[in-house]
Amino acid sequence: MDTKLLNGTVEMLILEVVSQGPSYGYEITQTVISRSDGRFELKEGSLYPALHRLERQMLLSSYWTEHDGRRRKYYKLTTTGRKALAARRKEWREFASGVNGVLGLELGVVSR
Amino acid sequence: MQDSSDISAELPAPRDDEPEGLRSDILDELADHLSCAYQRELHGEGGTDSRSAAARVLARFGDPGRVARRLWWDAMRGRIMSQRIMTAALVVIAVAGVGMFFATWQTLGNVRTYLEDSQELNAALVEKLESLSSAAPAATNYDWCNLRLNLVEDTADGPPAAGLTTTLQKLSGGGQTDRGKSYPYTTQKSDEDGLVDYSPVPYGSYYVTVQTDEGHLLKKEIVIRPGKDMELTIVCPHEVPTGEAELAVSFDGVTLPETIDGEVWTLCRVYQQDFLAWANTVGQAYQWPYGGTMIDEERWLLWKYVTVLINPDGRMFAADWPLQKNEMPTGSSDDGSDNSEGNTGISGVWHEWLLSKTYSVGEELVPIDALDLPIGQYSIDAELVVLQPTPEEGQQMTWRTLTEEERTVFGLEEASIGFFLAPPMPEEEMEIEPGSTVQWTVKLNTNSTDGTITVVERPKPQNVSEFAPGSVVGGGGLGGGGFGGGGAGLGFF
Repeated sequence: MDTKLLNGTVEMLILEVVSQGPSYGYEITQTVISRSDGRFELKEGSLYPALHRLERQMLLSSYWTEHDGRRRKYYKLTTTGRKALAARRKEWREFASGVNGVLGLELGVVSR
Repeated sequence: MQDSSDISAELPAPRDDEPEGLRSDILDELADHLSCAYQRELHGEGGTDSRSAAARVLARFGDPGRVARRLWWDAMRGRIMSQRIMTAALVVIAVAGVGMFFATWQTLGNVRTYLEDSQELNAALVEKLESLSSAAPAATNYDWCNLRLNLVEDTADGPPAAGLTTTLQKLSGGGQTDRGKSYPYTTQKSDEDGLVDYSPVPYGSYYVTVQTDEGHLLKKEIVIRPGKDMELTIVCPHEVPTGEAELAVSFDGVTLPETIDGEVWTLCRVYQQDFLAWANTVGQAYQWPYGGTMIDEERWLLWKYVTVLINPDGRMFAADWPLQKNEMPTGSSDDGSDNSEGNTGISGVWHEWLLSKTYSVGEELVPIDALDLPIGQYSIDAELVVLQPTPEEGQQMTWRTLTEEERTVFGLEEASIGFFLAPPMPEEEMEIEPGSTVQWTVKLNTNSTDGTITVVERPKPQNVSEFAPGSVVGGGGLGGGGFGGGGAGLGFF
């Protein structure tokens, strides 16, 4: 898949994954691959800058844990991040509906 | 697999403003990610050797150093940019400061050059002015004149009268009509040479008074002309002159100005000084020196007076004043009791009269031969006035005092003549015999065609003090000489 299509949705995908519970970078990439049936793969070069940007925007918070002798950084969704995720979902539905309408596709969008 | 220390080498050099733990957090996070990916490659489906696993992880991850640098930069961008902006601002300020310094330096140089030029110019101007001032006569200041008094004892060539108190009071208009106003005055004592220097004073009319050691009050009105200095010798007698005196009013050699469309008469006022009044009982309308002498800050010596007019032929007429003969404001007292201005009758008509220029003589102009006055101390002054029109007996008329301009045309340096008895000291009380109302007569010589006024002494009663009216005054500097003297002669007191 053309990664350009994914660029605008990286932050939304991260917020969506973390909204399921605290997660760390590698796990987030694996979750996205799993839930997209291997169609999407977040590049680390995009993942971590996006994670840190969302953290500076107070949409995510973080904490550290010890795992197998290594420090691991977990991210979790803040209240502000939850509101931002809801807004981006709405935007995405409108965007996808418009694109599908133009393309003449009937694609059911899962509403959470 | 790439170690975190290898990634650390890719990061920029540590900075002082770098948050503590930023560098290690980035490295640990990326290391954890690489480790997880490596383990998955190594132990996942279709496991491979460690070298291949590491290669595949790095191939998918990309350059860990580049990612680490980007994360570090994103975290530090705000601080770095702020620092760069601050540095740029400081550079701009420094450049501006250096520029201003050089601009100021250049301006100071210009100012220094300008000042040097100005100094040279000023020196040239001063030199030019000095040459001009040495070549031209000294300019005369017409507004300010020198006034020096020379006080001598008893006679004009007597010894200096030292330590006497003199008073100089400015009279704006110089005439009697302005005496009701309050004018500033200054006081000086004569030095050991009997000299008093009031210089400089504005030109105009003044009262000069001298208080002698014996309590005699010498008084003179002078007119200082613009640009002309005056040196006045005042004879201060130790004893009050006694005997008959002659007051001369002469018009010889005087050409009346055409502006005077009436006749010039002589106005005489005969004052009786016999009681004290407190300043707060007379109000602002009654001001020294007109009609009274200020004794100190609170007390005034008030004068009763009668007024007569003398025509050019020397005939005397009683003038009908608002306050005539012995009528005095009621309510004045010598005990310091509080008398309001309202019941003294001083303000109102009298005040208006004091300030007016034209006086009404009254319905009738009655000729008289003599004045009958009660016992007391008196002073007499005389002034030229203009009657318009020439009155007939019993006719209504008005008169006015000479204007300053008319006096100048006349060549008069004295606006009026004054002959004063020494006023009693404030503590002294005059012994006035009850009922002895006619003890002294002032006769004006009606036979004289040159306007001579003669004051004749009557026999003194036994109980009259030494300074009683019998101590008649004389006109030392005025006798027969007219008004043009303006010098040594001052009234005896």
